[in-house]
Amino acid sequence: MDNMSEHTKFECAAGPYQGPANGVVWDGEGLLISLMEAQLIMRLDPKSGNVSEFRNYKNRTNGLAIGPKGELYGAQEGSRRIIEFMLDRRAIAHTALLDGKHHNHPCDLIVDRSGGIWFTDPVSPVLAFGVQFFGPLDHASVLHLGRDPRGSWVLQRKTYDTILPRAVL
Amino acid sequence: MNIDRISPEFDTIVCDPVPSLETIAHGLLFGEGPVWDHRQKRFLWVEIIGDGIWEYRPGAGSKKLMDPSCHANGMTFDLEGRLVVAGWASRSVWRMEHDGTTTELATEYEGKCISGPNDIVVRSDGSIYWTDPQGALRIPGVEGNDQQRYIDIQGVYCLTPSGEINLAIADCTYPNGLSFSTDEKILYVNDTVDGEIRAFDVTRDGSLGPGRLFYKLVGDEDGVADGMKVDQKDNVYCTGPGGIHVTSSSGDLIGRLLIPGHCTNMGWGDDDCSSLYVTTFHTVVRARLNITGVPVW
Repeated sequence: MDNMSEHTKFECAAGPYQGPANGVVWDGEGLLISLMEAQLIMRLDPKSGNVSEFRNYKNRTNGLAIGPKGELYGAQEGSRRIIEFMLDRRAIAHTALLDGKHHNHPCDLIVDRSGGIWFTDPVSPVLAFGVQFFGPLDHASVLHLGRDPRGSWVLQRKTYDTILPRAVL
Repeated sequence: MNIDRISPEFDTIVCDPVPSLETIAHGLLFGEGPVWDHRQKRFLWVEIIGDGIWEYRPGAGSKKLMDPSCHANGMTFDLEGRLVVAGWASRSVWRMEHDGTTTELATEYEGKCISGPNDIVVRSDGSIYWTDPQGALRIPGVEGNDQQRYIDIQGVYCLTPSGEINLAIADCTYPNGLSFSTDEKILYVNDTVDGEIRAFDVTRDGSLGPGRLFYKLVGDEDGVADGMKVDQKDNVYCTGPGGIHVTSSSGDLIGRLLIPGHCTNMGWGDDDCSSLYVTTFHTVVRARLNITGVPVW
């Protein structure tokens, strides 16, 4: 806040909403916002100021990120996976195991220039949906999801000293 | 097997001494879809997260019949003896032909992709009824090609012999197991979230009347409303806390079959249709009962 003048004011661009508004990401022309409790992704058109529903039934999607080709990804905490929101409205799960185990609850993510997805993977106090077949990992780390030469997703652990990683930039 | 005897009627189902549980399979990742194939004298079930369809032949053992199955769930047979499957993650109802090939029967309702068929039954006129909750779109380890939900309700659908797909029940929270009464005049549908069974009168054309509460599942033990079957005396068997709740045709609890692990479904089997094959999260077990079940087609 040191660089803000005393006259700087925050204005409400969208909301208020019930529950946290997360996953703020600029898609090139508008702002996407994830509403975890409402299972929605909203989109703010800055020209009109209108906020409209962009996607529904998002099962606790938290962080959002845009890839180098404009792909939109989400950290879907409630299903323990990274998900890609396609232009035709399909939602494609990008799943890979970490050394044969299911990872925790992706919280935030970012995509690098090569399309690799980096995400924080803490254990959420809110259980994933449905039956709990897979316990949490014995660590909460930053993970990297990338393609191998054959195009398959491969998951790698990138931090070994994190306890409860949240945001990644 | 341990039991919880509530009324003397239960003695007509579980004889003395109480039968033991025979383990048919173990080490599964989400067993489900139990069905006996009386034509080939084999028992089939699915492994939802393990992703395959298994076959067990008494005296010969088990083998995988299909691998993968796109996380198939409930299974039954149609009037021609073809396996009909609730394709949970494939978001389709599909059929395995006699030559082993598969045919999609239903993928959409009114132009929208269905959410994920969970359990399935076939009526004597060939109609196929299935429940369509949203679970497969959300549960880790059950991913298909598209996780987006397009239909706002979680309902029960019917594919008629003429190929029409009708919405049979719209007012469910999370419909799961379903079973006809022996005379097919009632369709029982349970709801996992509401923890109850509702009964729907079936008209001659297969449409359903309004639902009425038939039985409310209560208990603190492991287990939820999931799979459901009926025996020849119209007692209703439903998974629930502790194992399998058995109610009379009037909806009164007469006893419980206490099954270790989390029960997911059950199916009548063996030549006399008096064995109850039960799937759990990690096992398939079998118990001989003192009553005859209702065979599938």
